[in-house]
Amino acid sequence: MRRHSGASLAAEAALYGLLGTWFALTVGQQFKKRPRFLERVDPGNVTLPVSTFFAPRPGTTDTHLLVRDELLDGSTTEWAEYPVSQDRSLRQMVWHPNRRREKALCDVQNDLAFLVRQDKGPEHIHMTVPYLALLNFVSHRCPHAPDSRRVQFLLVASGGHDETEEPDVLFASDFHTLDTEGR
Amino acid sequence: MDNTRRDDIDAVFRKVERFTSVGATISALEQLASSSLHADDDLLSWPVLKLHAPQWWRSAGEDRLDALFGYPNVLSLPRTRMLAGLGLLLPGTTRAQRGALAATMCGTAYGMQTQMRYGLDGSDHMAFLNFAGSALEKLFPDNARAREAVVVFLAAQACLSYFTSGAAKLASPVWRDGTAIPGIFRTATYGDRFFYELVRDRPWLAKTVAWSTIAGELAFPLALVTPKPVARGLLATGAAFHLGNAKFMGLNRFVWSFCATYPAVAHVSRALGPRKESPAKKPLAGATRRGGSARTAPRAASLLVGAGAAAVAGAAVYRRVRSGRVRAAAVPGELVTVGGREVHAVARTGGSGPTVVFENGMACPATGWSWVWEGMEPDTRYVAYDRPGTGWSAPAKGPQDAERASAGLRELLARLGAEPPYVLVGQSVGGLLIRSFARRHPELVGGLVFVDASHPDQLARSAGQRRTLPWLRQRMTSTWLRAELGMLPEPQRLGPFSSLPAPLAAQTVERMKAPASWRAARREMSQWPRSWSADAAKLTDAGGRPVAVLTASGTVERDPVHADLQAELAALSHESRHDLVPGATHESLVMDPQHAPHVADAIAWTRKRAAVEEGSLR
Repeated sequence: MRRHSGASLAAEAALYGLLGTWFALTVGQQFKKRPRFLERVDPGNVTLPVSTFFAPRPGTTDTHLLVRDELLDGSTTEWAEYPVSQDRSLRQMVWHPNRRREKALCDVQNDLAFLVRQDKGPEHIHMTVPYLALLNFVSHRCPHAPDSRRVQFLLVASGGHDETEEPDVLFASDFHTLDTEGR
Repeated sequence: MDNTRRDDIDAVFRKVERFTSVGATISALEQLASSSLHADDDLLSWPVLKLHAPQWWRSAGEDRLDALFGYPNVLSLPRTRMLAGLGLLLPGTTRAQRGALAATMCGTAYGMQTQMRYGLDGSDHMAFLNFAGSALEKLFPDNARAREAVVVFLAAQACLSYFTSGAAKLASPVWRDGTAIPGIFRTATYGDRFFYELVRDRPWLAKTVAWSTIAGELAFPLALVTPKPVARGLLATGAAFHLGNAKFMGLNRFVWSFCATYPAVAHVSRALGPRKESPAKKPLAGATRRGGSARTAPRAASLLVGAGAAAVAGAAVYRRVRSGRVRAAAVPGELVTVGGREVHAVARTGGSGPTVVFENGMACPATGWSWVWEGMEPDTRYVAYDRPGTGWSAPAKGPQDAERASAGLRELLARLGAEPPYVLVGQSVGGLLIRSFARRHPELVGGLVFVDASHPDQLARSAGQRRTLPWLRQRMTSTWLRAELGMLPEPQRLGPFSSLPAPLAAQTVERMKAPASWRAARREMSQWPRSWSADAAKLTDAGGRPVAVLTASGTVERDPVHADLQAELAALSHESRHDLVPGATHESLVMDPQHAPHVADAIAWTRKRAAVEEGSLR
């Protein structure tokens, strides 16, 4: 049997300490308990899984992103939805490149909806990452009329495949000037 | 030398790495196929996302961060991940190389995911753990005990994840009643039209799916200790579950990162699970000791469980005794014996005109009307009381359906000598009970005041109210249990009562710490849809008596259907008024000094008309 040196014993003890701490922090994470230092080191929470999947309150609505333009003559275009979700297919079980975009848009929208529910004022919301990310996206990636001057976006919740439920407006942005030079 | 480490543990990690790498490589390729997502003018634009980059990253300098995470350079991260993933899939890779590749996977995952923040899910977390475990194991090539500990860590993380997922669902009323299933599957984000249509009109199927998921997830850790065939069955069920989720929920990456943990679970299962022992073998000294500890462990567990149960029971008895003392020591009104039990009532029977009778909302004691009493004319006769179990009233035996509730109130009013006609004022579900009373005793009733009251069809017609009901029931249950254990968080749960006038605020808050009120509220929750709503619906016309309706604007904002339902309450009589109280919520309409005068005003209006009606009859 191989004998372990003092250094290797210390390394082994450190490993047990690391694994034990990691597991304990993961347990705490399930109860939304998280030490403050982790907010600084791992703000994106890469290291600790949260496993309360779809519970206790599962998401039961789809959030839709709608965009409209204000034209040079002051009129506005109809709201147009930016399509995100795709119908399910067998291929997606292996290859689903659109999933990150779907999930990212869903996360950004949820983040913004959370700020709205907290009754943060528009001055605060307009400076947040989810608002700026959506504004950046609708300004550059959604089609605009040639004579459009400003853009506005709207988040609407719906019952998805359940078409009996009325859609519900979650948030309407301000109008923001479009960068017309790049178009 | 490297080959000497290719033992059982190495075989486990080889499988963990390969499975996780397949998913991680596909994920990296998917990211590269939709790389524009990271462009400066798209959703995950670095110029925007760097606003919430970790503070300590900034010490590296903005130029360096831009060079690493700006578009298109950021794509080097998924490219690296793709190459590292392929490297881990190649046969013949040495342990050192595998360790370095797994560490690369961790490093790039940290960078990529901290940069992105959005678009991540549980599969990314589990993949990170798998690669981290794999890299750590390679740091201890000669230490079997340390390597074994890393396998145990991975197995424990997998079991914790499944168990947490099952426990969170078990604690959810919408999972327990199965409505979570059509709710989730109707969405395009995580659902599937075919599956949704399958479960939409089959509640039994939805409930079966929900409970199968809960049971399966909770049972997963048993794979560690059950016999091999059962453990294999649990793992096979887990794999089938993830494949189903990939097909119907779009969760394709979970298959790889979660199933990758199964070799670690199976390895620990072999170590912990029951073993077949040869009868020819003599028990070793160590085995005897293990046998001894195996007998001791259940005893210790039983002792612990017994001690815990005794502590909980002791706390409950203590609280009950203390609650009885508090009830006897500080009763704001009087205790009247009705039907052999004590009913708490706050009454002023001297005065003139119709007597105002208050019917409280759920889990609200009579003192909740304090500000309303202060706003009423000084000679107004009134009776407010606590329903069985609520506030200072003793609990009643048997269900308090609409019939018994009306009979109990009738007897109380007679005992107190409260003279009719009665102007009945009902808040929330109290609005249902005043309709039941008015239907049974029309000769005693002079008018009705509905204070943000429930409508008999509320649960059928308002999807929002229907969705809220199980959560409300859950809240009552959890508040009751917390009250039993003396763990009630005061400011959050008892907030509205603290705005009542002194000293009633303190008395009411103290009283609401008693579990009985919350237990009674749970019972009333079951009577509400079963008996109270149906019974109240039978009163379709107030017979020309004055009806006043007060609606809290906050309730309408949350549920627009509420406005229509409230208008229908006002339509019970041709002599009615309907006021929307701006800024008021369901509770503050009664318990906030700013809004309570609206209620007092509606009562005065109704009493005046009821008195005229009474005078004209005489």
